[in-house]
Amino acid sequence: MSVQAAAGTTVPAIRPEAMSNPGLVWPLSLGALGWLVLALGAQRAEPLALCLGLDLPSMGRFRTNFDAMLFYADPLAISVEWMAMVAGMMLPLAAVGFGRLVMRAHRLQRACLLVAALLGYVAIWALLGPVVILAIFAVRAWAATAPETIWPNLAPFALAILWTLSPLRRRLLIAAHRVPLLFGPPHTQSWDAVGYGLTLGRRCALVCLPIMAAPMISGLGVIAMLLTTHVLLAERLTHEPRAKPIRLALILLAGLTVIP
Amino acid sequence: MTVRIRRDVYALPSGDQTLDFYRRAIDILRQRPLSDPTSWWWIGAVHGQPGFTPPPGSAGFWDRCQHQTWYFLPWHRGYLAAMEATVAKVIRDDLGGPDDWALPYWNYSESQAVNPDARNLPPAFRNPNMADGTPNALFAPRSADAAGDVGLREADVQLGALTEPEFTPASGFNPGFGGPRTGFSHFGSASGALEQVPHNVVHVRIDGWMIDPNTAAFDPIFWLHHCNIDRLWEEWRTADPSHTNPADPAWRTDLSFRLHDADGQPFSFTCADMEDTTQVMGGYRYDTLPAPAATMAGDITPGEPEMADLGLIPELAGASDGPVELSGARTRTPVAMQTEGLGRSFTESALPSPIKVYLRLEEVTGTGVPADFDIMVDLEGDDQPPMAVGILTTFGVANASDPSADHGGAGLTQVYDITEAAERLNLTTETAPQVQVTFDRVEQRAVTEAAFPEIEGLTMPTRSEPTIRVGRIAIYFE
Repeated sequence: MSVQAAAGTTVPAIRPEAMSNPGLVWPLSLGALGWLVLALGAQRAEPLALCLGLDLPSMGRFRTNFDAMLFYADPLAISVEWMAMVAGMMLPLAAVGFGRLVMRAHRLQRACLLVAALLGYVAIWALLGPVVILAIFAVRAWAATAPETIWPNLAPFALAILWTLSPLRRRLLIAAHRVPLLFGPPHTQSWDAVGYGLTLGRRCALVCLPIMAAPMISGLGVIAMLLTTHVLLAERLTHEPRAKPIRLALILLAGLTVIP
Repeated sequence: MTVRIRRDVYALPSGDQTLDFYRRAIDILRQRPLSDPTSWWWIGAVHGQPGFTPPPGSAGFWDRCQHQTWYFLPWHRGYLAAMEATVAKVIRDDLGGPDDWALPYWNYSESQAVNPDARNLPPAFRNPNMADGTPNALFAPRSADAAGDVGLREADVQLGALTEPEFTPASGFNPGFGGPRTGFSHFGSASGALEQVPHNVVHVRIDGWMIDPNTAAFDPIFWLHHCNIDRLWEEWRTADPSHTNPADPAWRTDLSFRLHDADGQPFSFTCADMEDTTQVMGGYRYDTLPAPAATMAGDITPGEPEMADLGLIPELAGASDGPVELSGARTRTPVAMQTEGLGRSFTESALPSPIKVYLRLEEVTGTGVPADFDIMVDLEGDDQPPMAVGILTTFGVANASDPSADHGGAGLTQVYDITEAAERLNLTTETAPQVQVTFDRVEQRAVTEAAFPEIEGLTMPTRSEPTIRVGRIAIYFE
């Protein structure tokens, strides 16, 4: 009843009885839906712009490459892909927090509070989307100016590995464990739940974004994103949270980017 | 195989040298430098350390005590055995003592009809000096008076924990006998029944170094206290065939802990290694208990740590309007009941109800020296006296309130089964729109001021007034 993560880390399975908690079931279901969308997207004739990258010839100059990426990117498709990635990668990571929030709520308010918290959480990622997408395009445009060099692909991995070593990241991860206590009338609790979603989303973004961005920039595909999600989840579910499996996975993925 | 026998400190025969050897061994261990893993200071720092400069090699060994977790009992068993082996080696090699020295235990829960002195500190620990005027290494700053009275009441040492049917219930908020399912837990979350009472309460009542987890293990009485807690685990396990340790690999084998042995060499152990006391570091058993049988693990569905409390959802039936500051001798606060719309109620089930009612004190945080509070519930305006439902003990609250710690400063959570009181107060009907929860602070005795061994960084916990805040008082049906 367990799965083996990178470096032999055991990730125990979720107990069946926990599935009676909508705070777990809803985010995990949305996460599964996100992966399904990505898997179907990978089968399309048009590649996934974020996971795989646009297959464009290098135009030589950064600005020309960047403009070309913007020109060929379908805003609707790329928005759907971004939100599917957020659902697939981040909602499973946040599910424990949502589950705890639900357990602290009165039965009649659980669904409302869960929706409020999910809205707050997703709002953060929706706001971050354009910034992250443009940043990814910028790094890819930089990489395209000198296709023979490996550094533009390796640099995001190096930064992500350094981030896993940072005490600040660990503090943010610990802070993300906090779940609010709920008081007062239902509407007050709903706003508190929105606030929790926003706070959790902000902390998750700070903790995870550099790590999830590295394989995205390299366009390594859905499987690489799945592996990244797996090690991030393993970090939270192991008995003594350690970022070593994340670093090993990042090194593995970085190695894949330099293989011709 | 011959195993060492741990005996009741009050039943040691006249002329027995167990405590004399213990005292002399402590003197020797205190001479060893902080950087020596077999020194008194290093061993104490493994539990928690007050601000020492960590020497090389201490990372991963210091500040490792497991509290508010299902690892509480097995971790302390390993810790106790490693310390016992170190003391025994000194007694054998340096003091020419016996090969089979074993820690005694302090059974403060013994009936006072059998032992009137049971709740008092054992005599050898009471005086700062020996008869010849030399310092007594068994002494430490504590709340004890000359007769060894530290203010322990019957409620402080009651053994209701032994009636808990499960080590760790598979779901819900009840932390069970042994504590809730968690990952590595140096503080935070909810204490198991045995950890809560008598373990935590005895720590607080003795005071001095014992009141703070970061200094507790420097007090020699700490080890007799934990020896008793370890014995109570064995007593619970052998009392009923249904009392079994978790079979879950998450408990038994997935997490290992590291300590140093009597030779100062690191070793690691899992909870599974701690199940049979006759196999723990040469083996031991308790004088009044039968020899342990083979592993008696139960059959619990494998689970995972972070989602430990996310099983079947208990139903919130009432909550305070906000956080509650516990100030002064008594704090009384209403908890509004909201039983409408719940999936379970007493009215739908025959009495005695199969439904459990829990009072849950969530996110108890604080600073200063810990304090204990008697908890009572009643209805406003009724003519019944408040019903006692338990003791809020805040041992370790400062650690659990540290925002940089693993639980992000979420504090302690304590859970009390108030089913009986809820039935008597009829909490589930609309005639009880709110329940009053009262916290009476337990008076703490003054700590005896005395000189104690000096080592840089070890000071008495600051005697500041405790500020205890209960994040939310909640009532759940389960």
